[in-house]
Amino acid sequence: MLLTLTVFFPLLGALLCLVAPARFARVVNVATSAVVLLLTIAIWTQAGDLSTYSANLEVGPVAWIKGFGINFHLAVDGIGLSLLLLTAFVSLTAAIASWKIEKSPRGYHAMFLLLLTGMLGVFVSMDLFLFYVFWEIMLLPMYFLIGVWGGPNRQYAAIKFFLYTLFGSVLLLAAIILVVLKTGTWSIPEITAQASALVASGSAATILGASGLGLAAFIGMFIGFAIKIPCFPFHTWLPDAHVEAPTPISMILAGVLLKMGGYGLIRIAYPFFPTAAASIWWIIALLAVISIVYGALVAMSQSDFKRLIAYSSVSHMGFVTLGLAAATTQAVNGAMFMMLAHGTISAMLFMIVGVIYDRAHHRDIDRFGGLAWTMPKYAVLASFAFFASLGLPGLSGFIAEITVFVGSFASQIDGFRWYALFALLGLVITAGYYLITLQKVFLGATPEVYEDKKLFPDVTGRELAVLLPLAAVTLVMGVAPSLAMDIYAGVVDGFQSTMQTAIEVAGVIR
Amino acid sequence: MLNLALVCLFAPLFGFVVQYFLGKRLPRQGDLFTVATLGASLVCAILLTIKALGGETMDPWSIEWFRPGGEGAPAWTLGVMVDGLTAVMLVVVTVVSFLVHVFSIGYMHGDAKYANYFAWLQMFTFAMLTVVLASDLMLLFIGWELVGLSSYKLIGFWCEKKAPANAGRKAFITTRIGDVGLVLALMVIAAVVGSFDFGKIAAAVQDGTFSGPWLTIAGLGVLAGAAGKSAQFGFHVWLPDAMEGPTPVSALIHAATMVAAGVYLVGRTMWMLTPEVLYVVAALGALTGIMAGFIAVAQNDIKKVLAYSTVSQLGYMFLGLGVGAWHAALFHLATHAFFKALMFLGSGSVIHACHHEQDMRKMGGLWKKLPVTGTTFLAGVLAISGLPFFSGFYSKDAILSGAYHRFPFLFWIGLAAAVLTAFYMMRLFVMTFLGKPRDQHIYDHAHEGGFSMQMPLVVLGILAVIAGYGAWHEILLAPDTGLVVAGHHTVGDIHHFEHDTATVAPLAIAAGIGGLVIGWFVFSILSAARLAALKRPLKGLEWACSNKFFFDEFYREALLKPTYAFAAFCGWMDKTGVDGVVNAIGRGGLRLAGYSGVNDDVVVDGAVKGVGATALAGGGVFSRLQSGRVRFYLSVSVGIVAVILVLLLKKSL
Repeated sequence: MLLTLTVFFPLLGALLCLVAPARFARVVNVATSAVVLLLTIAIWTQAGDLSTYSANLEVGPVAWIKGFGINFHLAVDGIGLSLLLLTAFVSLTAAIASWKIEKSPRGYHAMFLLLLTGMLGVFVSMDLFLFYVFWEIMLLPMYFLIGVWGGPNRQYAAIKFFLYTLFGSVLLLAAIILVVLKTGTWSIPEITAQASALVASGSAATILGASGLGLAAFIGMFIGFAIKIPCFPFHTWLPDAHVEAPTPISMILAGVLLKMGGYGLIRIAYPFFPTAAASIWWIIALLAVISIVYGALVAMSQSDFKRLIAYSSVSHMGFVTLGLAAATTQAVNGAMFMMLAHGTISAMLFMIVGVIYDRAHHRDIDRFGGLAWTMPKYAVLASFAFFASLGLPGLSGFIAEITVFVGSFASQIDGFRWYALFALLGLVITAGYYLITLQKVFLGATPEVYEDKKLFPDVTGRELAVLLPLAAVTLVMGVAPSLAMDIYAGVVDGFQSTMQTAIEVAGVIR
Repeated sequence: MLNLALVCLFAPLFGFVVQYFLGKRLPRQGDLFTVATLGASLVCAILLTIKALGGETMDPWSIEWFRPGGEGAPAWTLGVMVDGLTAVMLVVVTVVSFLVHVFSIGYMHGDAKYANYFAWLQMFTFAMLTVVLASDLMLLFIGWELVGLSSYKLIGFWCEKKAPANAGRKAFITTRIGDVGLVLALMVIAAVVGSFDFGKIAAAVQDGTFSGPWLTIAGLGVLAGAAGKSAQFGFHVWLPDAMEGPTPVSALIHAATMVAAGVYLVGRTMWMLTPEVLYVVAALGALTGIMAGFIAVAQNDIKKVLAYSTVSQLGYMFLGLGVGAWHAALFHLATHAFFKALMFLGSGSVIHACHHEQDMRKMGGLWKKLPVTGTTFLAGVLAISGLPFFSGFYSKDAILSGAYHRFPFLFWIGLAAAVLTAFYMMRLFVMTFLGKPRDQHIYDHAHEGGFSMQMPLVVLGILAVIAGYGAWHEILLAPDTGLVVAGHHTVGDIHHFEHDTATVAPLAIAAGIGGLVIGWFVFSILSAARLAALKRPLKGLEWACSNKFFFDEFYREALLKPTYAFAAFCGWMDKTGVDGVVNAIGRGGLRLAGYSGVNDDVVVDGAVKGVGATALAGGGVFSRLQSGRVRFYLSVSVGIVAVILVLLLKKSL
């Protein structure tokens, strides 16, 4: 019941937004998001053993569309819970960041909350059909939030986002249908169990049989999820979407939406087709490494502050793909940690961009300078976010990167370690573009335009209310990583043991 | 001992947090508060050292940090320990840092970011103490990176100006390139040993589970990290630029924190370095020593001379480590810390007196005006030149003895570097303190700083003389104590070379005195015309030296520019290539579907209006979705799925 309430509570808020007076819509949004955060914390306290689906929180399965065997089925385990917490937390900060939205606020906040329902639903759906429904539900509000409330080139960005992700969704749906036709169930845990049993029996075949169909289905799913992550070469929708999206939506997009790609891989694509995934490990690892290095290089060449941050997301999310592909416990734990760490850090980074865009009305890095003297607190928070993102020990990004590096180097897959080595290049390039940006924007002499403290006031209380909680979580996760890792580590153990067997079965073990 | 170690470690962290957030509101902007927290650290360090001298050491004490390997696997731990080497480093770090804090009260007086400056000094010290107290490579690496952060902040402290900001960035990125090696070492060690704990790694090295090429690779990785932080040949380019930071910070970086970290790391992990790696360490050290010595001769900025002198001395230490003279190299690290901190603070005093003039060509004759600075500086010059009875003599001689026994060729390079060292140090001293004032205006206004600036000079001056006395280093840095034992019988050759009184010591003394005398003769006795005549045949060398052998230019052309160009190419490729394909497919798809004539504006703006209207009407959003292109996309996706379904059903029938 708690899960159902959590998932659909934002819908109530969305309806309330539509009927409430326009100026109250934002209050409804913040209040609803806050309640959702409390509900997810309640789920955390109620869940008990997190290494498996919590029995006392499970909803259903209740028959939903009888003719097709589709059920309404919600459940949560450690992976789902950690992402629920991330979603609720980032959404609350984004809701606060949405305070100043002036263009049809009711529509905006209603869309925002509809999006929240979609995101929460994705992380707890145990029925493939339900999963897909939530997956698509999320697409529409996002399309409108970018296309209506976005920047000058929003139409192009919105259409591109919609088309691109829809293309991925179609591949995903096709693969899902293949799986369902063959296994006769829509239940994610059941299909996962079947696939694990098959691997455990030592068969290299997939649940779709010994033909190449399983591999094809895996590739379809992988592309579908890789678009969301986004993994090279499926990433080009992201910079456009980010640049045009309003600040809070960018925060959600980077902070939560991208994680759905990683979640899909770890929950569906890999567990359904472990041997197929193991057999093409090098393609996935290669794409991951290219994402890390190439994403960082492209980020370095950007002059638009927001595009730069968007490409840094491509680079950092490459660690998620790399960690999953390496399939050691450390690497997968690191990949999950990167999802959570990147969630808060990237939300913070996009807010940082939003703060200066609100004041300067442009994002051209080369035109800034010396902002540290006009806006000292802002400069400190921005440096914090930059250093968190480039992997400074003590902050969460470091834990994510070092565990993925260490874990993927130890991969049992023959030859995997060379990919891990190549990814090390990203460390230097990332430090390069962040420090260059830091210097161009905040240090040096202040151009006259930015000297006026009235036009460029330091961060406001509302902005601090967004940035400080994100910074606090980044710090806490960096100092005491077990707080976050213990939530999901038990589930990762199960995932890893299946993948370990799959690596042996697929004959790629070293 | 644990409590002492923890107080020693966390006092500056506490100081950082309080000073960073509240510093401006504290009395005197918190300068005395930070001196006090560091004083607490200093007292703890001394107490720990007294215990260590009595033969008491603290075994690693660790906490479980987190378990990335899952329930069954060992947790990553963070631990601290105190052995002789740690004790030496603790004293060096806290003494120098304490004196730098005190000196800064006078030097930084009136700076707009006075409070912030002391906060970062605290962080820098905390980071370095983390490095030296760590009992595992992970905690060491954490401290290591925090050292990088602090150096970035402090080198670029005056970051409203371009040069300091560039220098801070250069320091961070250059050392981070080395850090990649260290991360690689972490990866290898985790994969082979499964723990970062020094004891466990040493055990694995000893029982042979950690051996062969992976051990060498890990060792080279450690070396890369150390070479980055300790500014060895190739990585050294950041250190002279780091002079852009406030001079007390330079003293801290050059003596006790940043550059010491690299030498310390190699010393700490000596037992896992294979003979191949140690050879590289020795060769790198000798090369660095001689190269930096040549460059130092041709510099006119007083701090630049000292900077290259540090690079050169660090090369010495690496040479010592590489030849297996473990004790000698770390002994030299300690003595060098005192006399180099002395000379940097001394140069700070000179610069302060000369109204922030750093060019030695405008100084001269300052001895009369700055007697305390001049006298203590002379002690530093004699110590670094390796004159008998000064601290530098004992440690330098020990390094040369080691080289002489191990790699005679490198010994001669080291000896040549020793001559150069004495030569350029005498040049610096003559140009600054002796002769006639070259700029009367500067000379007239020169005066000693206050007590806070003189006291550190006197303390360090005394240390520069006496730090080599006594048997403290024999006890604390005895190779057969502590962790070093683990490697004594395995890969790293650690020898305790006796001072070779027959050959090495006379040669070393001759080199030091010879360099000093030649320097004094050339720069004090010779007339300007004779000097110019003498220099003429060496013009090419001087040109290359004064341009620092063109490392910066080479890196700019061979590394930076290509990287930026490649980044720009990637950016261009992403836009036109990768995204171009996407857009082309998108356009093609639309054209195929016959929708090419529809203007985006019509569709999406329609939707905009739709949302606006529905926001008023309430609840009608979804009906609007039925219109426009969205319906087309949805119908395409449904259509594709339907086709697949039909095909599949047909197959199964």
